[in-house]
Amino acid sequence: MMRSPLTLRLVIVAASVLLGLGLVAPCMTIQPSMGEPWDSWLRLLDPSELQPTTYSILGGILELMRTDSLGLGLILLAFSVLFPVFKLATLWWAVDALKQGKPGGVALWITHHAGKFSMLDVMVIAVFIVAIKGLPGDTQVTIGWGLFAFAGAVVLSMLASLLVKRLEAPPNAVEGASAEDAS
Amino acid sequence: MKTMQTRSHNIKMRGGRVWLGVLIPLALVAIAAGLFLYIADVQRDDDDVQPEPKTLQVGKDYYLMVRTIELYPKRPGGETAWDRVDGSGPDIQFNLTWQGNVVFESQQKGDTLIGAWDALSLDVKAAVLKGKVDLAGSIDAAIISVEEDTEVTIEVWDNDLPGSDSAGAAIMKLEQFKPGDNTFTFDPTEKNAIKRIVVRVIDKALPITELVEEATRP
Repeated sequence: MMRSPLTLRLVIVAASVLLGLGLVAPCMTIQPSMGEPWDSWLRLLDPSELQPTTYSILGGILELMRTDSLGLGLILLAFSVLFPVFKLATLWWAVDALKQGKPGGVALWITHHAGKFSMLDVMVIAVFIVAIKGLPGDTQVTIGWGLFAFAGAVVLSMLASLLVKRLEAPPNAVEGASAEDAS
Repeated sequence: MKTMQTRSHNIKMRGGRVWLGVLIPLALVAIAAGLFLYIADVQRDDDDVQPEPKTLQVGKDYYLMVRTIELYPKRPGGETAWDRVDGSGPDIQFNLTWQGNVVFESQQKGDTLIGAWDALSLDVKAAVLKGKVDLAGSIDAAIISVEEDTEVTIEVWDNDLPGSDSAGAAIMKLEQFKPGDNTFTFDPTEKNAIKRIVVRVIDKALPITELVEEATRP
């Protein structure tokens, strides 16, 4: 089960689509609030300060890079955008190679080790949300569906990585138990 | 020999395709992201295109804010100065009548031919004492409800100590108004010295932040 290259490719396709959506879809909305009576004053003096702001992962990274946090922005860009895309590409490469009877080689090595960094950005967002919730005032953070799409892409790419590993291994090595049952 | 060459060629071709395959996930990510941004952009354009109603809608409540009143340099009739004693300008004040009731009376603006009123008047003392600001209550305007064939009257006078001198009264049908700023100009007559009135109309149903933004917009 789940060892055909077609199934594996479908998983990679789904992960790619989810990743694309997850990078640009709304990831979180920040509704600033200083609490009463300050909100009333702010509404009066500068209403734009209380406007909710919605960020996507890519939008948030670009905003970070634009506002004096170039280093952090570049790290997130590497681990949230470039790395997951690169991982999916190498997975596809590995599937093609294995289908043609070649060893996965470098591609497989990369995909196995890439997964360890996949959740870094989700962790950064989680820390960010906790930090905002800890601020004084009543600022609210609402999670958008983009984050779930992104997390789905990460999970699917981990699944694809696992399936590639199973595809590479000889059938009796992976499904030893079922082989014994059959005999 | 020829078969081996063909096999070698096929392997090379497949190798090329392996590299080409790497582009598929990249393309899918780009297409999914691009498609989402395109659809979001189209939806945003659709939202922006929604036309603003050109007239007031019957059954809805609106704020009517008189922003500016300009008077002619002479009293109605065009012969007498506003202040015959020291030649100072009129102290302009107005009220707004709707359905036979005065629903709003303004503050006085002293010694001027052009009176301008802020849309917000904040009671800072009450705000500090209560710790709260009543934004909706701070909007200095009449609230009216639009019905068929309704009109409002803006009566303007020069508020002097011995007594007020009428500057005129402008009767305006609500059908003449549209949301936003409405400027009305008048000719001088025996009973009228009002030159210009600017009235801002704001939908009362707007969220409070937009209401304040609309009211304070220059």
